[in-house]
Amino acid sequence: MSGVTIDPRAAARARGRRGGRARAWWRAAGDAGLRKVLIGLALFVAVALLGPLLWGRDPDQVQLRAALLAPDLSHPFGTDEYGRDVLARFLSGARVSLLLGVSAVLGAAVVGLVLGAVSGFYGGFLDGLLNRFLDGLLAFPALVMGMSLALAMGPGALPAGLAVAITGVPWYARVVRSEVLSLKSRDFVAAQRALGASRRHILTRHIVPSVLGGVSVQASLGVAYAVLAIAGLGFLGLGVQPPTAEWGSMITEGRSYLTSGQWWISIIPGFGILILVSLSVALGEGLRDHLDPYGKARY
Amino acid sequence: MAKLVISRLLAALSVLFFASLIAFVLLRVSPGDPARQVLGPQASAQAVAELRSEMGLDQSLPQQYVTYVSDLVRGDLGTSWRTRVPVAEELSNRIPATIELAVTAMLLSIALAIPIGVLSAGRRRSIDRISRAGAIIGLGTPPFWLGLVLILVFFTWLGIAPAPFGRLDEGLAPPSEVTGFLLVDSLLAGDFAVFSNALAHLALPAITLALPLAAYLSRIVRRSTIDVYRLDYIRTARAKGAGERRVLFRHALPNALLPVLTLSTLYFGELLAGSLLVEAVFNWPGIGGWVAQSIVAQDFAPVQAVILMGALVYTTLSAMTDVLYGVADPRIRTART
Repeated sequence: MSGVTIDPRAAARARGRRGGRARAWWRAAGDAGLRKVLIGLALFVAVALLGPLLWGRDPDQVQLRAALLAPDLSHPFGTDEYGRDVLARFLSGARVSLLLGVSAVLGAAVVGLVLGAVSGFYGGFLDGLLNRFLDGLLAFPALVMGMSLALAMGPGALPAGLAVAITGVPWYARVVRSEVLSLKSRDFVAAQRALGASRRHILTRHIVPSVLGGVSVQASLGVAYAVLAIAGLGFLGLGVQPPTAEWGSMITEGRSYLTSGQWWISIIPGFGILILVSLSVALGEGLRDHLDPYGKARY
Repeated sequence: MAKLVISRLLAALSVLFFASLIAFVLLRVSPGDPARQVLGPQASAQAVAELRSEMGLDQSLPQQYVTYVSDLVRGDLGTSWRTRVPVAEELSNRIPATIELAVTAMLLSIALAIPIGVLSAGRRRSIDRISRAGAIIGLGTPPFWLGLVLILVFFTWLGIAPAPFGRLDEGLAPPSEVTGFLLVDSLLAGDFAVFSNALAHLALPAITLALPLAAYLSRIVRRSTIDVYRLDYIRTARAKGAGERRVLFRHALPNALLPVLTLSTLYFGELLAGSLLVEAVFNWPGIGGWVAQSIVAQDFAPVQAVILMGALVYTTLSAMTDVLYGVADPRIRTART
């Protein structure tokens, strides 16, 4: 990069941008709608973590004499075909969904962030190759990847989570890459270079922090997508395996009882998915208004 | 323009190559032995080894891939090891059911999303709040679960929907096959009893698939309607004395709907994936149930074919969209793709 004119204001502007970033997070925290969503999510996490302790029933305890009981005081969500308490299973299912969904998204976000940042920042042949590969991955819906992995590794929580993580990577890489490309040509990067900063320093200390807003928007939406996909795989019998209580497989287990009137086994876990996914979508939408550099202009 | 088409085509081909490679490798690293699966635990080791060589499984992975691709290029999708039926034949038998369902769902969701999106783009904040909340809940609803809820309400409780098994009531003869789409074929045959029965069977699965998509699209319609209304030509139209109705239908909507159409075509692959689950819920005789069974039986060929078909649909649609955008917008034509 020759011919860079040193602009004394650029460094100051770069500092200002940083301040702007902090302000954006702060503003997001002050958004009333977003606060409600955060409270909802906090409640959800609390229920997932504390619920099983407070309710105290064993989600896996079989009691054939108490099979298929309708919801009442001793079993608020009823019991399933083996007489297991649906509320206890619901609560431990919340843990499974939250844990698997969040860890899959974290994995995808970190890998996507690195790939996108490297390919956007260094460009060249590597960039082209990575892009083709990631576009190829993009053609796989998480569900299809989950099926293939379940076939390759045998069904379980690990292939389901891996599938969601792998198919998530291109989304983060894309967001990060396009943002890095636009940041790269900004004055503050030129200023850093002129000041003698190494490329690695610029990338890790200046560019990566700037793309975190976009990544967190994507990640909140990603949790929604992950929870849905994992439940879908569980529903097909290709995800978390019984007897572990997982919402998707609970829905399958109760399916045959729908037409005979025992609706609670299938229908109640679905509400859990609905609530968690809706909250994550709402969080992503709310964060987007504040943190996405393209803001509301994007769909 | 030709340059754009060629570069898009090359990009699409390389995506397809990577997708086929990913699918191939994934399915080959599975620990089980498909030959053993076919012959059962009683078969002798020699029989298994013979079948393995017949299937080509004793070759190295790169060799198998070359064989696979050269078969593919000649239109040979392989044969199901489980049923011994050529994959192409089974696929063409099953695909109309899936397409009929997916297209109906797509049309239904667009029909829902446009009015909802336009209304929530208007001045009434309350409508927008309700539609935003509705969209978030719609996106949060697992489609397979929604299908079960609809079955519970409309079949078990109200008794107005047909039993969730297949495309027609048992005992009803399907119309002679022209397109494979029951709605079209029954109309061509003039058989209204079959038509209404097929429609009744299609209704719940189509609604199940359509609602989450409608939730998503309605927000896009809203956003792009708002964007278009800010543009100068809308002000010009108003200044020329056009009524609000004319401004909306004649000037604003055609432009506002462009991104909606793009996104809904891109979403089609996702819709097909969703139909895997929804087909399982409604016992729909499409490709969804077939793939699920093939996976359990470690039957590679059908799974590979469906993965590849999904990638093909995805790349074709996205390449087409890019080229059509190039036609519509000269700035994209010249830009580096």
